Amino acid sequence: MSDYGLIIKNDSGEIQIDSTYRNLSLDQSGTSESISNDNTSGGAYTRIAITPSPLVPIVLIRPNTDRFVCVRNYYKSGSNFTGVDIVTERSQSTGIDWQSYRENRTASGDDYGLLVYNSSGDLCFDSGKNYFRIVSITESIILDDPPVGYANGDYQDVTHTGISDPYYILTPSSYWLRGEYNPAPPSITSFALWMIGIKKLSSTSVRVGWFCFGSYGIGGDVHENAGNNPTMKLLVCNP
Amino acid sequence: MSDYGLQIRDSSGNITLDTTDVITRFRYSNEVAAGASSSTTLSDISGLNSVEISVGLETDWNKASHLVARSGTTISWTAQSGTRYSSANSLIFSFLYT
Repeated sequence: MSDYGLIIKNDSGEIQIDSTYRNLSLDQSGTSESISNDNTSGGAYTRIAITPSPLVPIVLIRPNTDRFVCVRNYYKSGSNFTGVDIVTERSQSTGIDWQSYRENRTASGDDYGLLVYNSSGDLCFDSGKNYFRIVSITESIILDDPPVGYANGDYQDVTHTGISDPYYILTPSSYWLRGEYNPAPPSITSFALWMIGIKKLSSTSVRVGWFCFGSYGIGGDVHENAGNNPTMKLLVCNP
Repeated sequence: MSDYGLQIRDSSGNITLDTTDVITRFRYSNEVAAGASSSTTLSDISGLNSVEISVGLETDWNKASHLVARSGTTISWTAQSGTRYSSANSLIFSFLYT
């Protein structure tokens, strides 16, 4: 960290602005965005277009009560991030609200307030921008591995009484592939693809759990039951 | 209310940043190749809290993005693959919130 410039801390002593690293401000958002899954490798996700930029987007999601969702991929065109792929349960659809935050891509244009630049001339903070606040972090969400079949798997519910209808960040990413062989004709192995996502329970609670985002069959016994089932972290964010 | 710190209001007088708020700063990103596992040390994040995220950069549903974790000032990423799924090119990034 530089030994000059500006550091602003909150009243817990935590750095808010440091004139070295750039704050993440609201870049784009969408409401009631339709997310669909046709249970094919190319159509299991819905791509949300974002403004092309090499600046990494941080995507916050506000899920609905009907389906699990999660961020699956980012999409790039050349050096620019141009899309975010969201998945929901296989052969289902839902609607979500989302927000994308980035390092300040452009200044707000306000002719008053505070602008903070770093020594490279990059805009670190602009008082005319909107910054999401972290309200709480649930650190240790540990789930059992996904079950046989396609019904939603193990879950943990998180309550956040201090804020209604927040946005969420779920990390790290998860993935599981489970194939069960049925020797009875036509003797196929049925695969289920899984991720850990979030589903709204109420304005002050959300469910973190495994959901099946795809399935397919392959002839013969090629069963597998493997993947990554990490300890998950859920951030509750106030936009 | 604190008697120090920064409070920002918009032109309508609404507080947009308060002295209790926890906001974020972008710290690190790296596009890592499928199958590659490695780490980096960021000495300046000592004592600061951060969130690490990994997302895939490929759409094939039989590909898994890297696992990412922080230990001390080291951020590490580990490729994930199995018999019937493979590692994806991934984006690893980290932001600070203290």
